[in-house]
Amino acid sequence: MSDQALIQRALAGDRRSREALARRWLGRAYGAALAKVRNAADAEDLVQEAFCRAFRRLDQLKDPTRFGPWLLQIVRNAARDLHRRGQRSQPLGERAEGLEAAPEPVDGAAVDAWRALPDDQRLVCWLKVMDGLPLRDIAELMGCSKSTAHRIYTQGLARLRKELSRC
Amino acid sequence: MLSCHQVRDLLPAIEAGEPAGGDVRDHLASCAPCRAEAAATRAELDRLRQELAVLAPSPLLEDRVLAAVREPARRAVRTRHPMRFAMFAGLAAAVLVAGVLIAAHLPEGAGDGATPDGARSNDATGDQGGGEGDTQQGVASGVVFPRTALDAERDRRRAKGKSTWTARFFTLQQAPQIGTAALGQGVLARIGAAAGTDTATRVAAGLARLTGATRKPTCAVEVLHPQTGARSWIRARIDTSYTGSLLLEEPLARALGLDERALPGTVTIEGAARLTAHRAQARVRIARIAFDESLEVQVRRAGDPLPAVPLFGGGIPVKPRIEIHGERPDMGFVGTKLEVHHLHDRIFISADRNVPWRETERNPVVLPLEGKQTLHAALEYRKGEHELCYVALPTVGAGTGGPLAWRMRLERVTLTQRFQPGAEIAIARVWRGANAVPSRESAAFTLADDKGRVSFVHVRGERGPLLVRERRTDGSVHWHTLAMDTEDVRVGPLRIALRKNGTAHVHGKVIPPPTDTPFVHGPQTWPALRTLLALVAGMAGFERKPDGASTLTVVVWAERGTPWKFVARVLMVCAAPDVRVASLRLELDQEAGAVPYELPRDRGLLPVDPSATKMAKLKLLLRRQDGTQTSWRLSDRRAQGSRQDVSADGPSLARAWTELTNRMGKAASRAATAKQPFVFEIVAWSDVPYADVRRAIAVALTLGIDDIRLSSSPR
Repeated sequence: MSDQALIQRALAGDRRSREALARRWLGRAYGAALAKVRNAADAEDLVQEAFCRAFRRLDQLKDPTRFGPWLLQIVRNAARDLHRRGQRSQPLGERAEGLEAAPEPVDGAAVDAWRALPDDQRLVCWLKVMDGLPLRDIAELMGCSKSTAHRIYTQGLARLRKELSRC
Repeated sequence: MLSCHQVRDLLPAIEAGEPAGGDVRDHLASCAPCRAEAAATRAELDRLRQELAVLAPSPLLEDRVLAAVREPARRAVRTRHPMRFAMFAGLAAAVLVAGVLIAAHLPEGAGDGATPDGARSNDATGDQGGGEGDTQQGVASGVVFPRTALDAERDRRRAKGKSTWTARFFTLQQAPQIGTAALGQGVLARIGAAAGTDTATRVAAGLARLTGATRKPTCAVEVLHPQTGARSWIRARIDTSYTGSLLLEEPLARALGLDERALPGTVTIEGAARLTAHRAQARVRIARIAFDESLEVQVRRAGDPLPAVPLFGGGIPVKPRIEIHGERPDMGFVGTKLEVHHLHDRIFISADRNVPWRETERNPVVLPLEGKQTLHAALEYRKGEHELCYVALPTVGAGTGGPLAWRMRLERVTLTQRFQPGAEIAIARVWRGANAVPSRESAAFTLADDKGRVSFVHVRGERGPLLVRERRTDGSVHWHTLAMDTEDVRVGPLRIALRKNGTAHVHGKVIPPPTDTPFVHGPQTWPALRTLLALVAGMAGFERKPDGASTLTVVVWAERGTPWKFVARVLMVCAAPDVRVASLRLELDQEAGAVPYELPRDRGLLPVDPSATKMAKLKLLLRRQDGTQTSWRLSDRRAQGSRQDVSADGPSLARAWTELTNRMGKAASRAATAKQPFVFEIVAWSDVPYADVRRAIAVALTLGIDDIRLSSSPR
């Protein structure tokens, strides 16, 4: 069933359609979130927040065929909000040091290298390598041509391979 | 026909699942190097997938999201059945009341404790009138999917001399003027109490989010008057943009849910909080939420009498099975202050002192302690298993406080001896060679599992056999000498936070800056910090290395603008003989999370080895006058004694990093070409910002120079 049909049913109150739509886009939304934040936990929060926002405003989606790009834009907006909240916050108080927890577990070289990629390369590489999404779909998601998506992917992968080869 | 170059351009996409055209397949069939390249690409992609898998979403994410998108449908149902889904619409809020009533003003009748809970609840909710439903409809349970993080912001307007943290997750329907929660000693929600009075009750509140609560949900908070035991319910709202579940020093955990048709009346939540200090915010991260048996969440109708919730320490209701008792009843270990930390896949709950352990039903534990001793205790909960271990640590220094267990290297020990179920097991002695010594340092608390085995967490490094006493249920005592089968439990490093004024913060303890002058009194001063670090180093390392170094890693974090002299003092302490940290990690304000620069041990201003004077020396001098930029001088002293100033008095370090890097690189290359060992010495005046010195260290490390000596110099 197409996104368009699912959205129509979802707007009519069909819960299964909402769930199907969410399942369909969950992985891609997560990839987009992960391209914006450093760790999986933040990305999961972003995804949850984005889906909340998206389904709350589903009736505002003008072109149901563009649900994916629209959702990803919501993810980006949510990431931006998260970042702004962080900037508005004040330095940590004295008490906090005592509550400081253990450091993040050390990630592997691939994760570090992947994090060092630009946002678009991170997104494309994640969707391609981890989700196995066709480049055509990735291009549609990003609003670019397939050749551009291919170029971004190959550049990102080349950088990853270069970093990994050093290890 | 495609060329090899063209094919290899396509290989990454093809190996990642893109369809290959016939010409590509033909080429690969006829070209062995390209096939090899394809295989290599495939292998690298597999490796990438394997390593990036750590970033994959948790299995719970789908549940969270699906629950979120179901919400409108549920709301529609609720509209049709307003009475069924009324009042505390759906939500979950957790509250563990460890709190203390701080305001002296209580509602009438609350102080004597005579008012029935139900009556108070009715009063509390009845006055709210015009709400979203009828409280008498009760509250049912629901699935709670907290967000994994909650941001708290500091509210300086309300704080003069004290830090007040405001977590914008909590607004009150009834008393919006105080509808905030303050993060002070842990998380404290200052909320208005029942019936519209101005009673202010401080409760430790944790909030969980009912996924899908796209409108602001209503939440019920249970308030406990700790003196009278009176309980009441109040209504509150949660701002869904800030949610989370907190378990801190005075934590709570009690979730209320909603859709009573969906779930049974009682659910449990296992939660853990990990608090990290990001540069601009306190973040409490929920490590894992699952329905398990750690923290009990019960859902009650607002008017129902509440059961007596067993309070463990600060009030986390825990199943009785985790309670233990001490051999000496006059000793207490668990107190009213609890902190919960998540470390990797384990949860540690550390506690303060002076509340006796209570006897457990099926896992009696004897603490083999001698003499009066104040301990910190920690509870370890292993996720996914009903296995609980306890660790007691001798208090580090006077008033050090804070959780230490999770910062240290621990070992889980399993004794394969089968004990009688229900027997009391005590680790009486640890054998070191021919001598048996009291095992108090090993802090062994034992728990027998269903198979009669014993496991505990071992703090110190003794590896000799244990002398274990088993007191069976018939009163007979049996002694065993058992070997330890150990498993390392990872723990984090010790973190020292430095303020611009030189104040150090370690484990929540504030250590004022030293008043002496290192250049007069010599190094290794600052006794307050040194004593603390020596103790921690002694506990962190099982055994010191042959050169006396401990295994402790110290993270030095400093605010931007902190003068180098304060950091240098910390490094001096770290290099003191009784501390001798294993490594140093240097972090800077606003760069939390960045790759830290890590130095090997003894780079903390130890006197330079006399033999090193014969080595070539690359010396960077950083200077700073008041109100000026940091200037620099790089000198290259060859082993023969000649001195060559590579550059003198760089005007501004801020604009000279590239030049400095190049010059240092050339000097290092010269030394390497001449096969001449050399030392890179960074000498900084006292007032040079730490950030500049740290960056110089980073440059050196980037260039592969690892023999770095740091020193501080007066003007």
